[in-house]
Amino acid sequence: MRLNLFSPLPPLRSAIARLTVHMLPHLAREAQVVLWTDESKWELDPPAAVTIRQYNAQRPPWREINKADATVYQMGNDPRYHDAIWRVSQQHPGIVILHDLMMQHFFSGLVFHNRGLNRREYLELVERYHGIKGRVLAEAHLQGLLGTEELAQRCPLTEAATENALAVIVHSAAAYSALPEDASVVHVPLCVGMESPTLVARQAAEPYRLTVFGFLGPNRKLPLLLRALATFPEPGRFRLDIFGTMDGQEKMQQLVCRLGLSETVTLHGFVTASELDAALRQTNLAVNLRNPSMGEASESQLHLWQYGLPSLVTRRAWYATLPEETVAFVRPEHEIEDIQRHLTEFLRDPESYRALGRNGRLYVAENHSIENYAAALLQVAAQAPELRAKWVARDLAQRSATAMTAWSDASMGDSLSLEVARQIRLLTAGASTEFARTS
Amino acid sequence: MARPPMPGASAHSEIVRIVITTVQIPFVTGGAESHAAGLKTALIREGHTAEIVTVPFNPAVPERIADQMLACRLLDLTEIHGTRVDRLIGLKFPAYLITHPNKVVWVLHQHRAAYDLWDYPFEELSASPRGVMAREAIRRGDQLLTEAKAVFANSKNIANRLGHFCGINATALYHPPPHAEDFFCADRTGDYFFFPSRLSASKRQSLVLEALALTREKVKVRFAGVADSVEYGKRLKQLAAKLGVDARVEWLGQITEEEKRENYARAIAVIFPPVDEDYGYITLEAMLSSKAVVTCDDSGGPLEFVSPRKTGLVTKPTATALGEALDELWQDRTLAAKLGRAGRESYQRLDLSWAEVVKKLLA
Repeated sequence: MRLNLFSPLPPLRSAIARLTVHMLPHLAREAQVVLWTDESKWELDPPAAVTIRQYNAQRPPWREINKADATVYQMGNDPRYHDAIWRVSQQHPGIVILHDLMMQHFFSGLVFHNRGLNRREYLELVERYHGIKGRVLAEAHLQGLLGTEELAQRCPLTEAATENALAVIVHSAAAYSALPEDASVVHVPLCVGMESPTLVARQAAEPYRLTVFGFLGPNRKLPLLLRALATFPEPGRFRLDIFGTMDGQEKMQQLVCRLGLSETVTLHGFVTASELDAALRQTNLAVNLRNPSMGEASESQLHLWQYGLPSLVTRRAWYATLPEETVAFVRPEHEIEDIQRHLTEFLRDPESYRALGRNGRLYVAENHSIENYAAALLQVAAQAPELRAKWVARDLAQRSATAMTAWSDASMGDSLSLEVARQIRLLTAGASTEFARTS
Repeated sequence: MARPPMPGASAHSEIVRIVITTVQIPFVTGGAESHAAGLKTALIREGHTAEIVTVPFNPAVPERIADQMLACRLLDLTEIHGTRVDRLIGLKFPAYLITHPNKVVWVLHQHRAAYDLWDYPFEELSASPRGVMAREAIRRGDQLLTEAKAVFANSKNIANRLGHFCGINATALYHPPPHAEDFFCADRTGDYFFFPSRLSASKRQSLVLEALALTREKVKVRFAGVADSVEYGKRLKQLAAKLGVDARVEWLGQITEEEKRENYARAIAVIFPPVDEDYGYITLEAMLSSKAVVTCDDSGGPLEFVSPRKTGLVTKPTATALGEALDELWQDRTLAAKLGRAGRESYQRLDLSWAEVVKKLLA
């Protein structure tokens, strides 16, 4: 099989890029992979069966793209890394791996970062999927009156990202349910973009190390975590390290100072993979809250489990489906209360939390392996011809229906629509016994 | 009630109303139109009522090819004005997909961009973002050819393609070119080779120009035919100038049937080196005009009729090889004439007749 894979690549700071690199050797065992990037440089050493090709999203080399048996698009919600991928996916239907359900960030980002979607196009897109009410909210967002996350909850624009997909791969049951029934959606458990590290026993001495890492948007609830620490009776028994980029880091630092946590909390900003690795090896308890959730499985949660770390997670969306013995839950809207309860429990019985981490490590190995992930992706890709036939059938049916609406009435609609549907089925199935050859 | 056969016509009394389905690509005319007209004439001559139903087809927008297939499937030609259509003969994609309970197909050719010409530099389907989708839709749709009571192909080449790509068994059914009886050979030949065909990348006029640039002799070629696009016609002329052979080339453009036969009659030989031609009237017309045919070993249809060094020359599809063949016949006119005469005899032995075609299509 020859497979096109459109994905962000290192050195871009993208978990999806890491996942792609990690997956390549497994795909390359079964397929010839052409890895497409619109970046002018990349840092990876691909396996022998993998070719890296650069493309210009304005003029993709369709002849070469069309040589593949299937095309796969890695789609996340960072407009900087996924705008070119989305553009190609709109023109050349393929298999979309959807890493986020809340794609509002992506589309409004295209406007704000001036990446080829103007205000009018954006508003029309929102209206198409979320009606005039959605358009009004989006207009408010463009005017700075409504935050992206709030808008995303009401107008996620998920289907805009998968509009022309042959099939959509999602990573959670919630995402599977969120997409329309007529779409070809496949649930494949996410895997993490690195091998599981070899662990040595952590230092159990106080102060215990708490860690937060990843992209630190407002839904990570950092101010609540800081307040929980600040009002905790024994804050000196912990140190909190925060890794990752965030909007408004300066304000966050001011909050740390204001809450008297300067000795307890360190904002590290973006760190390299090896620095993060060293930090996670020293961590005793991770905090991985999401409220609201972006709706999909969390790569960072898998990452924490690989390090055998206990973690506090919000009981919401994908996180709410996790086994009780692998994480410690925090109730939405009760963050401070629950965080403090867990810190107290942790000090009283750290071993019960370590057990969560060990269980998590087993869970990720059993349910989120890269081998299974690559195999599932190849299995979907192998069905590409049937998926394309289904796509054509759906497209023909939709456009026929639109055309017929203009001139057919109820009296003829039934018989005509039945015949149209029958012929579409015959055309796209490629065989008929209606007038079987007799000679 | 069945209409009686015309006097002297063979009797197929149970079949009288026949619809021939084909397509029209606006502004493009070629062998397919002559083929449909020839079949209609032959059916009428045999005592039947026949009509050509032409469906417009625009292959330039791959996203809409499936629409055109569906449109054909939704046409109902089983009955016209209360009278049954007894048989439908489908000729071209997608018109051969029109349904009928008593259908036979005589495939002139499939939509070749979805098959053997996929990824050829001059075919646009593989350069379209939805090219793969269109290709597969065409291939799946073509499986519906098996609905027909019988599948005939215009040539062995077409039958082979149907078998190779679609797993469909088809019988090759040859027919004579239009006005076969009017072709002749003049007593004296002119100083030129004749290449009558649409100016099209698939016909490889450019290869002939490149070959001319390599000939030792001052070989001259007359090209007759209209370019697929104005741009392509210009490109060919620019190529001739660039290669320095423009003085040895004549571009006759659109010519009448009489002019065509006259040019055949006085040519030293006929050049016809297309890429995997379906059938190719040109080969048969050259043979009827007692002219040797110079073709290539990947030219498809012509190879079913040209016997190497007996009725023509078959070369590798390279400018060098083609140039050498042109030099040989330019120098040795006696050989050219001998091959041409043998070609005429070979044509006679084929015993091509429309009556036989009608008999098989209505069996």
